[in-house]
Formats: sequence, structure tokens, C-alpha cells
Amino acid sequence: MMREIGTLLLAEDNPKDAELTLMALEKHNLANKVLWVHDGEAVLDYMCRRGEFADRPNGNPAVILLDLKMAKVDGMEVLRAIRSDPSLRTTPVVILTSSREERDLVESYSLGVNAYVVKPVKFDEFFEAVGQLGVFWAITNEPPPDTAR
Amino acid sequence: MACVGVVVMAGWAADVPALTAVLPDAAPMKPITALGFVLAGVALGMLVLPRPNRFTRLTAAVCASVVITIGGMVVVEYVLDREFGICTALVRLLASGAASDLGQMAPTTAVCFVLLGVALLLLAFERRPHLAQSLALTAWLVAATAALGYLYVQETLYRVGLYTPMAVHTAVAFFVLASGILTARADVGWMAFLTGDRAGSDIARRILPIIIVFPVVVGWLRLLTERAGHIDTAFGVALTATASATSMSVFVLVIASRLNAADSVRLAAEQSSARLANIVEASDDAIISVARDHTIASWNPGGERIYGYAANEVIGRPFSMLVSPELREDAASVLDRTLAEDQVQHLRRTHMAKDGRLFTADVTLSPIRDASGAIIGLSDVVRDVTREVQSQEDLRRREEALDAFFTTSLDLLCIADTGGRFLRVNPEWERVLGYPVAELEGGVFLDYVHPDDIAATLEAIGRLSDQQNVAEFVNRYRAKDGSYRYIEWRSHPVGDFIYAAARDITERKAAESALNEANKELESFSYSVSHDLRAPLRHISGFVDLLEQSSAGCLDERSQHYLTTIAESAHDMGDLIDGLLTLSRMGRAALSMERLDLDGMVREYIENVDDDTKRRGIEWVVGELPAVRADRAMMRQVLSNLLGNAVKYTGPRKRPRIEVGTYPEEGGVAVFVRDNGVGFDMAYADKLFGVFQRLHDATEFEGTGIGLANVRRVISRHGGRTWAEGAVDQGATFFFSLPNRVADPGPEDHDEVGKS
Repeated sequence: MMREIGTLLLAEDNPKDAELTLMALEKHNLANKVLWVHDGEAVLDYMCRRGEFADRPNGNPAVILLDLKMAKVDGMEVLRAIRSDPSLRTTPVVILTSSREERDLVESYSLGVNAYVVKPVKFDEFFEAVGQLGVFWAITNEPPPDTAR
Repeated sequence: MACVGVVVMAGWAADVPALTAVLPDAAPMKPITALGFVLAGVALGMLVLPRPNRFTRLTAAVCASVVITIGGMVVVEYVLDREFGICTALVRLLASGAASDLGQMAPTTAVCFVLLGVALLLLAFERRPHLAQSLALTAWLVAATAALGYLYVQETLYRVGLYTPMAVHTAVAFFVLASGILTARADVGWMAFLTGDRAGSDIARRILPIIIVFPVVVGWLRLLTERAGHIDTAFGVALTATASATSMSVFVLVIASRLNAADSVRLAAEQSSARLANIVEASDDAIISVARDHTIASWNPGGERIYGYAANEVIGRPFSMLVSPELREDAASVLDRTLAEDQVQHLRRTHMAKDGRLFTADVTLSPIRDASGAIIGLSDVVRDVTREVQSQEDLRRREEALDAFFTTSLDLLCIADTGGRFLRVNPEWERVLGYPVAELEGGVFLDYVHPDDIAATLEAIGRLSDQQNVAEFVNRYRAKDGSYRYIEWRSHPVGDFIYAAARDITERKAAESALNEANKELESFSYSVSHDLRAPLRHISGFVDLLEQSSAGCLDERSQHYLTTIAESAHDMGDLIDGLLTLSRMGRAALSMERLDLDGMVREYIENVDDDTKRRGIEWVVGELPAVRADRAMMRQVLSNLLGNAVKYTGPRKRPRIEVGTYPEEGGVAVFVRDNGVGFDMAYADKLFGVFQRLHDATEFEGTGIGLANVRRVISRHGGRTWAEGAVDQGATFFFSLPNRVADPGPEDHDEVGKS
């Protein structure tokens, strides 16, 4: 029996990046499992089931793909909020960013990020990287128990 | 005296025996005697007048001469046994001639007149006082003897032979007259001895009257009692002897005790003066006494030391010889003033030693008095203060020099106490803070310190109180305009004082914070670049790729070429951004120094080159490279840039050769990477290390033009330098140096981390 595929929550404020990311995931047949939100606030709304996500079904996403530079609430704040909430802290988070800055790396890992991926400039590399990420977190990885299927 | 004479003469004239003879049956005073007394009395009166002049003196002399003449003629009459009849003539002149036989003047009376007359004459001319007083004393003794004769009722004492006896009042008058002559000039002759103020004279004055009177009284009492028949002669003699012995013993004892007392006083005075003399002898100061006429009266060894004159060279000579020539008149007037005004004077003068050397002297002048309190001279205590004056002058100069430094310093200088007060500040304070110096001095410095800095300032004061130096302490002071200035301190405590040099570093602080600000801005700029600049590139590259896939086979060759070019450009731009970010990071990141094995790092690079490069068959010549202390990541960047360039520019060579070597350089070590590649024109050598400077166009060799800029930045951050040599088609050599402190890796066991 084929394993159930987990939900991917993509937080990306740049629609072009989002389109390319979705394209890459689509190539691996993960497009229908992806929920794209535009900013950090929406991520927290989703996770905490409030606002427009008040009525969403139970269960956490298999992974949150989080951009760092976002309007309103940035990625680092989202990560901090999730890691400090006992009911959310187990959710895997992957930083997907353009920044190679060491301080971002250090801070992300010290907050307990599960992976840190720098978006490659070359599209084929980017395609490859995002696709593998999706496959790994949504399919290969055994998620924590409260993850939605 | 003259009165006695006048009364007696009047008696003769009036024939009143009571006046001429005093006692009944006694010898009367002769008229001529009375005349003698009148004249002698006048002469004596003239001599004792408070203000004698020529007239009085002449009168006295004339009277005295007449007295001598009268006495002398009587004496001659007695000697020649003839009568000149002076007496008779005089009597006739006075009286009616009733009494025919008045008798002659007694011979002793005549002798006495001669003696006293001569004495008066001498006194009148102020000649031979001793002789005058001797004569008067002789007359006094004669008179006293006569008087005693009357007292003891013994005629032989007042009558010589059968001649006329001396009348009792004549004897008394002579006694008085002689006494008068003796006391008239008691300050000269023999009498000076009695009137002197010394111990002997004093005792003589007290004892003499008793010695004279006592035996006379005792003798008189004895005679009286003997004649009355109360006692016999033997008893009288015994009584007299006993009384004399007793009284003499008493007098001797009295004299002795008085002498002892006087001697004790004298001894004490001697001791005290010996002490004083010792002090004077031992003094380092010159102690000089000066007489009223300004001559030097005494001189001590101190004077000899200071002036160089021995005592015998100066005593009796004028004091002014000790004073600098141009000050001599002034010195004389100062001496006079001291003598006249009776004041102690303290002066600082220029004095002159025997050898002509002038020196500064502190002089104390004070009057010297005799026993009666009269100023008889002055004492002059002189101290040579040349050295003190010199050292004071030196000190003053030093202080002036320090003061000049203090006031001209560009730094803020101050002296404070550990109690927290400014004792002294230099004018720079006024310039920096705006308060007048006078306001700051004496002020509490904590009053000016920024409230947030007070705790730290108190802590620093505490350390200073413990006698520790304080350096690089910074606090803020409120200036008069209300702004705060950053002051950096270096303070040194000495007891309760704090000596501090401070500096207004407000500008530096501002520059530092501006620099921090700029660095932060730059950092956030690079951060934005790394995030935001890359995103569009990714999009270009991504969508071009998607377009290529979706249009596969539909596009003509030209359109396909356009797409490829767009993709490559996007990629190149990505490399540029990465290069710039690296360059920025190299400039900002803190150096983390460790021991690095350059040799190993080069070999590591060679092993890791890609397969294409490996296939080119490059000849690597790697010498023994030094171990250095440096930042690993940055040095890896340097080596990879230099070696990468060498690989790249030897591309066209059939036998590429790359050499890495080292040689010691002054102050450190140099490393070079030499290739036999395309080289470059030395004219552009300086441009090589600039950002975006390329000597080859992109179609020949790929590259961003940032690599060598990165190398230069890293090496210069390590304190070294970079340079290059080369020629077109002759290859190129790139050098970098590292200074010793970086090149010397230190003991290995401290740097285990460095070994990779």
C-alpha cells in the first residue's frame, strides 16, 4: 500500500518564487498537497486555526517550507512562535531562503529548524532541490503523530 | 656758709658775743675768719650753680684767690711772728673799735683757708680734681679734729700751742665747707670712687659714714662715763675694744654678705654671658655688634666663615665695608634708624665678602642697651641665604615651566583630591566645558558628571583612593551649554591628591558611533543584496528554463540562442553578487586566528580541482610553505583565488606549470604563486587588485573581477601586502606577505585546532 502523503505548508511572499516552487513540487506530483500562504501571519493563523483558517480540518502539516524575508511577520518570528508553542513545536520546519548569511543560519538552527536550504540561482538546481525536499518531507519522512494525512 | 660768715661779722659789728663765740667762754670766731667763710661760701655757691658760666667761674676764682691770700698772709704772719694787722684793720672797719684785742685768726684756720681756697680755685678751672679733693679732705680732717676737740673737751685738738684756738663754729663751718667742696663735683676725682655704681663704691658709701661716726660716738660715750667716774680707764678701754671688735665684725659680715650677693649676681651674669658667648661662637650666622659710630665692635667665627674676614681685620672698621658698595649709604641710614627708632629690623641685602663676592644676606638689626637702658650700639645677625634664594629661584623656575606646560597643554589637566574636588584645572577645561577655570577650581567634580556615569566614576575614585592608577576611564561631563562631553581619563594618585590628564573624546565617540552606524547600514545592505538581488535572477533563470521546456522544438535556433544568453547572464550576475557578498564579508567578519599549514592547504586545493583541470596535466611545483597564524576561511579564499587564477590563465598553455613558493621577507614571510600563463602588462599591475578590474575580456577568461580584490582585502586585514609581477605571454607571479606576528605560528601545542 502506498504511504499517505502529508500536507506541505509553503510560506512565500514572492509569487514568482511561489510559482517556481509549486512548479517543482508539481513535477513530483505533490502539487495538490501544497497549501501556499503569503506571509508569516497566515502561517500562524493556519497553525493556530484562527482567522480564515478557523474551520480548517484537524492536524498539522507534514512540513512548513518557510521563507525568511516576508512582510508583517517574518520567517524567523514564525519559527520562534512555533517552537515556543508546546502543541506546535514538533512540526518540522524547513527554511527555504535566498540568504546565505551566517547569522540567519546560526539563528535558525539555534531556534531548532529541521533544515536550511538556500535557493539555488540556477533553475535546474532549484527544481531539483525543492522537488527532493517535498518528496522527503511529504513522503519519506515519518511525521510526528498529530500530523494531518 | 657765707651766711655763717655774715652773721658772725654782724655779731662783731653789733658786739654780740652770742653770735661771735656761740658758747660762753669759748673762743670766738674772728672777723677775718668770718670774711673768709663769706668769700669761700660765695665761691662754692658759684661752683654749684646749675648753669655755670664765665662770670660765675670768674667770681668763684676771685673769691677763692682772696681766701687764699687771707689765709696765706696769716700763715706768713705766724711763720715770721709778725703781724700785718689785717685782722685789726678789718675789725676797725666794721666796729667802733671798742674791742682792741680781738686776737689773731687761729693758725689751723689759716691753713684750712689756704687749702680750701686752692681747692676752690682748682674746681673753678676744672683742673686737677684729685688734688682739689685731697686738699679739701685735709682741711676736712683738720676741722673734724678741732670739732672732736670740742666734743671731747680736749683743747689740744683745736688749739695749736698757745696760738689762738679754732672757734667751735669755725670748725663746724670748715667741716661743712670741706664737705661741700668734696660733694660739689662728686663725679670726678676721688669722689668718683664713692659715687660710682660698682659694688665697691656701693659698699663704701654705706659703710664709710658708720665707720666714721661709730668710733667717735663710742669714744665720746667712754670719755663721758669715765669723766663722770662711773668707770675707770681700763674698763673704758675694754668697753671700747669690745664695742669696736663687735661692730667691726658686724660691718665685715655685712660687707661680706653684700659682696657675696653681688658676686652671685656677677657670677650668674658671667655664666649667662659665657653661654651667650658660646652661642655666638658656635653660630653659623655672623653675629656682629656695631658701635654707635657704625664701627664693628665684635665679630664671631660665623662672620669669618661668611665674609672671610678675621676678627682683627674688621673690628674698629666701618660696618659699611660688609655691604655691597652701592648700598653703603643706604646701610648707614638703616643703622641710624635702628639706633634712633629703637626697632628691630629685618632686611634682605646684598653683602660683600672679603674676596669681593656678593651674596644675598638676611640681616636682623636690633639695638643693644647698657644697664641704664641707653642704646649703645646694635647687634647685626647676618645669614648667607644665597643658596636658599638660589634654590627658591630654581624651584620657582621649575614651577613656572610646569605651569607653562600645564596651561599650554592640549589635554585637559587637573589636580583633584580624593574627596572629589577640583583643586586646579588648566584653561583647556574652560575651552571644552565652557565654565571659567575659577568656577571649576574648588568645585565638586561629580556635580558635572552625567548621572548614569556617577557610579562608575565613584568606583574609579575608590581605586585612586587605594593608590591605584586609573587609565582609559571614560565618563561624560556636562558642559555649560548643557551638552555632555565624553572625557577619557588617565589618573595617578599621590596621597590624597589625584593628578589627571584627560581628553575630550566626544568627537571620536561620535565618529565611532557614526562608523558603527555605517557598518550596520552596510551590513543590512549586503543582507538585502543577498536576499533580494538573487530572487529576480532565480526567476529569470527559472522562467527561461520553463520556457525552454514548454517550447522545446518550436523555437528557431536564434530564439534558442537568446534564451541561452539570458540564462547565462542571469548566472553571471549570480556569481557577481556572490563575489561582492564575499568581499563585503571579508572586510567585516572578525578574524579568527589559528595556526595554519599553508602547505597542506595548497595540496588540498590541488587534489580537489575538477576533472577537466586534472586532465590538463598541470605541473605543480610546491615548495615548503610556512605555517602561519591566520583566519582559516579567509586564507582558503586567498589561496583558492590565486591558484584558481593560475589555473585559469594557463589554460592556453600546452605545458602549464604552476609554482608555489616562499621566501623570508623583512618583518615576515612572502608567499608567491607563479604561472607560465598569458601574463599581463605591468603597466596595469596596479589595477589588478581593484574591484571589477579585469585585464582580459570575458570571452577569453571567465571571471567576476572581484577575486584579487578579495585577496588584497584579506591580506591587508592580516597586516600584509599584495603585489604582482608579469609580462604579456610571459606568465605572472602573485605575491602576498604576512608579518611576523602573523607568520610566527607560536608553539604548536597551543594550536592543536590549527592542524587539519
